[in-house]
Amino acid sequence: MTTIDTKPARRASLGLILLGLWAVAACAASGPGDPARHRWWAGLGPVIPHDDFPGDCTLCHVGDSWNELRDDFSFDHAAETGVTLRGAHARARCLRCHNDRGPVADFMAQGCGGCHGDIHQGELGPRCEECHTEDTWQPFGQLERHARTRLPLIGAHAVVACYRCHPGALVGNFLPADPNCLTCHREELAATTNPPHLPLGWVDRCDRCHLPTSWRQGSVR
Amino acid sequence: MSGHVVILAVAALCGLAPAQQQDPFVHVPLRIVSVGANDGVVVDRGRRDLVEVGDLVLFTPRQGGTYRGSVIQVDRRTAVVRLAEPGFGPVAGIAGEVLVPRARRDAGNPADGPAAAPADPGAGEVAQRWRNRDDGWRPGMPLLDRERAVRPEERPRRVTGRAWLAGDLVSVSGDRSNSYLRIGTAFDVENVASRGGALHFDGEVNHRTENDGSGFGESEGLDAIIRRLSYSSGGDRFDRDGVEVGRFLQRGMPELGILDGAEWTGRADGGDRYGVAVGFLPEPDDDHESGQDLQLGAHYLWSLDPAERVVVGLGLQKTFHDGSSDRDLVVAKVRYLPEGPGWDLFATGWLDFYFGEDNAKDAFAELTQAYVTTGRSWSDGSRIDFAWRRQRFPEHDRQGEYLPVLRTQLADDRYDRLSFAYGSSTEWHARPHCELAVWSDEGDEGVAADLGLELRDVFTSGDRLDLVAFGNSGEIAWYAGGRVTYGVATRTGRWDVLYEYTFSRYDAFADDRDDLAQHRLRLSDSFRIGTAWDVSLHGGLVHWDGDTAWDVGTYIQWTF
Repeated sequence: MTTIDTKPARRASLGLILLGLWAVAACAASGPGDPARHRWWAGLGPVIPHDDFPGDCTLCHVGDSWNELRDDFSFDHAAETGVTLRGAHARARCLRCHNDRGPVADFMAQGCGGCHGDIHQGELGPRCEECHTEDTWQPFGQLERHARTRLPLIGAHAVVACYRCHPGALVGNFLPADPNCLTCHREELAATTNPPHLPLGWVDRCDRCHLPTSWRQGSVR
Repeated sequence: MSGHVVILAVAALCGLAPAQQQDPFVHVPLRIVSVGANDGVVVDRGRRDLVEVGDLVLFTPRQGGTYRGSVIQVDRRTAVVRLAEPGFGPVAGIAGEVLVPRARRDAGNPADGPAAAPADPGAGEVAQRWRNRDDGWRPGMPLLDRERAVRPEERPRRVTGRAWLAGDLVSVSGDRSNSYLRIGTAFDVENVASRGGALHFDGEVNHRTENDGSGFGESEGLDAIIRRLSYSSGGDRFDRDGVEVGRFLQRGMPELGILDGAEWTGRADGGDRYGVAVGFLPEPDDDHESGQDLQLGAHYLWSLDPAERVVVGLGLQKTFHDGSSDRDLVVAKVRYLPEGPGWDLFATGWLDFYFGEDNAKDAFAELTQAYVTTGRSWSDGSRIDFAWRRQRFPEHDRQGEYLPVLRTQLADDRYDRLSFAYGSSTEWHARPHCELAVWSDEGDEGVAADLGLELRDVFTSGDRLDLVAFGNSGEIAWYAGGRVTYGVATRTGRWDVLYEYTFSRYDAFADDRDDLAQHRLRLSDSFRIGTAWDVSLHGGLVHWDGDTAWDVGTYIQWTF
């Protein structure tokens, strides 16, 4: 437990009971159904429907393998399917999207999360496009977005690495976080001797004397 | 007599009538595949269907009516049709037909038909080398009745992925600095052991330095992070059961986190998905230390329609920290997606249960996190969104999820935020947008607002100018300012320039020294080199209260 001055909690294992209930519910709910309903498990043949394709397979394929396409293969995805591919999607291999997991239209309808695993583990919501583009996963606009929170990043906070306050930033984990000064500056508080903050009982309301303006010690206004 | 002659003549005419009234056109069905500018649409019929310029096209949208158009350009498999009637809003998928003169079909079109190919002396050899079996074929069935799909284990081994390098350097007033260098790769090896499974890897090595200028605060660190190293098999249309072992993000319910262990997932005939996972949870920070938190997890996702537009999910997570019972978590989620423009809903809640006597939480159960968003989109690209977020500290013994907090923080801290966002039509050259939010925590409350106007094609085609005014009543201060962003999309990427001014006033100061102004400038450029390289460069300046910081950074990625 990442707390201070707390004892480990002892809890009963109701979780195990819940797991058992889940198993019963899962068995009850997964009864027989129509296997063709989702068009997922049936042997559909080629991943990409070829019903409307030219009869000459060698226009796209190399001789004896369905998996190899000609070096000069090209496909106008927008004209042929009505779906325009942009950025990284335009340069991706066909089978990255058209594969054995199911009809690509079904996954596309679910947005980015239909194909891409959510490394933020659901905590940042479904609107990936607010931070990412189709060109790169490198996020953009973090400071602008932070300006809408209860702690806009001003001064020294605007040029500090994300992981200093969000310890899981490198692995996509940004929550939960707390704007309390001590959450990040506890060590600085303990090391301050002039004046000695701790003996004087100055352990909260740092903003009465300090502004987030500088790395310099003692920048009292 | 004459009466009989008349009757016979009428009968003869009736008998001849069908032949004489045969439709002179063949009605070839088609669909719109894309909509272009200037009342032009692309349809999925072309020269191979004997379509020619000038042919009449009739569109019959589902909502009723018939709309005419004429073919103005023909390719081998597609044609461009100019719409003849205003008021028809074409969208991809609308059905129709093109009227091809029957005489043209009867005469054939040898110029565009398949050319007679000379006999291929190597055809027999190719047939000998053909590797795929015809399963399910029986005598009497057409030879190509159903093409057999190539199974994963029959495919060639293939490696796809990316490698990247990222670096950032920040300097503050010449005496403080921090730097960050990362080198990483992520790749998949398909059919790695000729059994159809795949090997996955995602990791990086990073080097960090920090210097606070005092001579005592210098630090340096070298870390290696492995986000994924796993082997997966199944979970596709050939095998409804899927297994993944190693380190991976739990596929069925990512809210349960990254796991060092094994996960089994299955899919019911009706489309429902379920699974169980056992293993250790790495600490969710850059160290990813593992071995302390054992997880037993399970999930079930009810899918109410074939495309999974309506999904209700439930996940359970029971953890043991160093062998002691720790976290009891239930994750519930709902998703609703419309088939076209309309309302959607995403909702996820993390419900922690607390048992026993010695804990900081008074409640038996607590909604420690929630994210609910619902919005409506329109066909012109405009959209409104409502969102509610809740955040509390869950009490558990696992390390690294958040920085250490006081017991009182653990018990009392909470954060709720309700927001509304609006973005107008993406087709407009001047596009207003805004976001309004109210928030509340255990000791304070505030509001935040962004009002913006996005202009397109201002100075050159493809550019974008965004003007935003913002204000925020924050935790310890209020803020107001403006932001100007100008960007241009280029043939290989885009570049942007941003300037932002923020004025802030701190609540706790009683005198006139509570004001702080900040100027921020940022430049970024992203472009592609060939088909395999992506490069991003950025740099910026921040000036406030006598201090100036600059930063430069890059991100280079090679895709293979």
